Amino acid sequence: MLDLAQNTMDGIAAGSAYALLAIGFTLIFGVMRRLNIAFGPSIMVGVFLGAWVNAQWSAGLIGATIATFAGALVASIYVERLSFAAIRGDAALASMASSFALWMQLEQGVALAFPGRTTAFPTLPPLLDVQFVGLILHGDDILVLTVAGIALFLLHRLIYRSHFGLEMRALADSAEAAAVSRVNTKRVAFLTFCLAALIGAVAGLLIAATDGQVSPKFGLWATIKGLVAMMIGGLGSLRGALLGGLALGIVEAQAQWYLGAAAREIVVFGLLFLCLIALPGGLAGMRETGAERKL
Amino acid sequence: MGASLDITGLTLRFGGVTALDGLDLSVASGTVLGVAGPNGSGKSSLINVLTGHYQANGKIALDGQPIEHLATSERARLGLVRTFQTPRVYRRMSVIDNMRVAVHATQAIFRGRSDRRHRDGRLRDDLAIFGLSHRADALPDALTPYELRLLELARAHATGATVVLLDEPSAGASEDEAHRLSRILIEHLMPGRTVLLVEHRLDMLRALCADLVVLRAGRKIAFGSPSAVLDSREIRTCLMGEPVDA
Amino acid sequence: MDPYLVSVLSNIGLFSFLALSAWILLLGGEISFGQQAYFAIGAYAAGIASAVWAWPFTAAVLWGAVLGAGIGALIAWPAARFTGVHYAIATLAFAELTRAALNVFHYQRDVDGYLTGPDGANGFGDIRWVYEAGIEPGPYLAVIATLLLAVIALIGLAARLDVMAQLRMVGEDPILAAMQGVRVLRWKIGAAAAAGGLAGLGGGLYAHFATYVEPAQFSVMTGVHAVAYGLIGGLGTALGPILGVLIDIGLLESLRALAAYRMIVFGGLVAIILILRPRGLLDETLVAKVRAWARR
Repeated sequence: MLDLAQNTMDGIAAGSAYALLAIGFTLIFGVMRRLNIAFGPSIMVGVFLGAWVNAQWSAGLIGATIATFAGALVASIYVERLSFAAIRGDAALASMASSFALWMQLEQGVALAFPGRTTAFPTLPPLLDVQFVGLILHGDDILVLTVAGIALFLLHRLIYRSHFGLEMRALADSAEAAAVSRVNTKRVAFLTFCLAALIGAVAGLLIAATDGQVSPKFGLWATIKGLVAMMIGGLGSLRGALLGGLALGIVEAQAQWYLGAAAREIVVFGLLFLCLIALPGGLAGMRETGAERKL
Repeated sequence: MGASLDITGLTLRFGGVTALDGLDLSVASGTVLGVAGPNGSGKSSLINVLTGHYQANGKIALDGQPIEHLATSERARLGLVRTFQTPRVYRRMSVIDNMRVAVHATQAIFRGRSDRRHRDGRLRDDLAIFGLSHRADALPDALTPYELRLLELARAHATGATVVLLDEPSAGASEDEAHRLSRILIEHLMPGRTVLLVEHRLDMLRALCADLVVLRAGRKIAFGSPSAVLDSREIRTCLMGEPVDA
Repeated sequence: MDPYLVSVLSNIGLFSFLALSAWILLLGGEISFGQQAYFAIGAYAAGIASAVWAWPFTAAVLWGAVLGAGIGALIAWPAARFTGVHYAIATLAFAELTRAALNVFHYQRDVDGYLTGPDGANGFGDIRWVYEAGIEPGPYLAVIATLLLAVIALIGLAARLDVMAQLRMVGEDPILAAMQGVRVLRWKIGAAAAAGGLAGLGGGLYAHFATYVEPAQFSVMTGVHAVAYGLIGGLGTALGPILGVLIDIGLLESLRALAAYRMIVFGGLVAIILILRPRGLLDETLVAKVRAWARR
């Protein structure tokens, strides 16, 4: 019972980073109706830039943070221009395939620039572990949860309290309606991409700083975690992305503890597959209630 | 050709909105029933329910056989075909290919070379009837909206449909095009077929229909010969939004 | 022939099966990130059959293809109800599930004094039927090429019988297709079975070509490559995905000067092609034009 609670706590900390990744995917999918599978690799570019700046000038965590944001932003803008802005019209497949092509570029670029398997990343400032009723709350986890919480709070303010947030929600609702209401859809789409990059960079930063290192596999890893969390939560829902990320973190932690690392993957993907079939709307979604019949 | 279509107690609800409210209709074999009504009266919903795109309560019978439990594709295989308000075609297939696949969808796929040549010849004849022979190899993007409408009609004709549901065929057409369209419908599409014609233009309803039904809020508010129904000032007000002289 | 050339050509042929598999689903309107799963299933099934059960090569490869088709249909049955992103992620989930399962799949038996068979993450070696039968890489390439040509001929026949056209109807507008009498769900399941069978066939051939397979080879990257091949080469004809494979493996692999930058060059090429031609080089419009020209 204690194990179960401890795993859940550890899972929530890991899950908060997944949730941020899933929210990044959801923001882009919401306004574009297209998947950006180069999202993870774009964040990876940022994280590696952070590691490089740190190694070059021993810039520490703050310098690495700034570099991570800048790198993720630049890589995301590159993807947005080539794979999304340049491919207009009814071409969701083309955009998805194109973002994959840029993924390969980003991944090989990073691999060429950083030949080692892993690169050191500055760690989080040491914080004491907190103990209560036999549970240990790790200092790192407290920091991760705090930072993720602040990021979510700011994002919430931006989406539901600002004019840009209003335009973004209008665009997500209906591109046509937004366009006739004089929303500059191209500009909003571009800025949403940038916002997603920054949210993703927070997630990448937290993960890299917790591990103290980064590897070129981070891009694939981040894309898969973000996609899985988004789909478990329910495609297109921000609340769903948050729930899905936390659920994924908790399930992973439990499966790892009780069944081992090899079984963890089986459990996660098996659950995702079943979840898609049994709950097409995800955790946050409601089942379609319309009279429209499935083909 | 031509099968009777009988609808009993058709009810369709979207959440709290009732699109069709216990509708009864029947179209005798080989006749044309006009359907009119203001926007949101349930005309398009009726077509969508008949094809099986929407699931509704109530009974639908084609030549006396119940079809309400059948999937969309099975109803089409029984000869129930529709056109769309905005013509719907395969944009990446040429005009003749659009005709081919429509005919093919309901027929056996294994047949010989001479058969294929014979069929292609027949499809080109059908295109000629509808005035599209010069467009046979063009992609739909190159066609005018009116030509796309003709393609939809030619396609319905070529499939050998017994019941045709026409969803505002004159939508977007000019005065002159609407007249030509009426003539083509009378001469080529309607003979021998059972037709449900949803239409806004009163002159077309008068010219083409034996009977006319007027819907409002998913209910039948008038039924009879077009001239009798459209004689009523109240009905004309309902259809046109303001009193007009017909 | 130069052994290096034979090996490159064999790889082109083998990955063409995977690319065609993803292409068939693209025609049906769905993007699958998971065709590598059927490639893996075919590779493992055929490998086990010939190396552990001592089946003859033909039976082993056929068994791999049949299993791929069967599982493809089985997975499609629930998955065909999804569209778009749901379908893509469902196939991804199934493929990753397969890979994770192969990581813990141990099935080793004593064959002539050696433990043979899949050994989890350590992979599955000694799939030596082709080498023990004395078939050189050259003739094996001929086997691959013959089967690939047979598949292309079969697709050509299907196109003549308008089977492919019905699949395209489903892909382009499933609602209109259903209203014209096309049984959409059956077509989707059928396409998934054909795609699974093709990938399974390719996988079985690949296992006997490489003699060693491991779960890590069948990652998402492999599957997304397969989709990209069709999208670059074009969706208009079966030659499209093969052109995609040729560009990636053929052109870039052979330009050794570019080896270190292969992904950067290939990625950039794909991005540019997709901006200029969102449905690939040999897209439907081009194919329609060529056909109209040939008819004249």
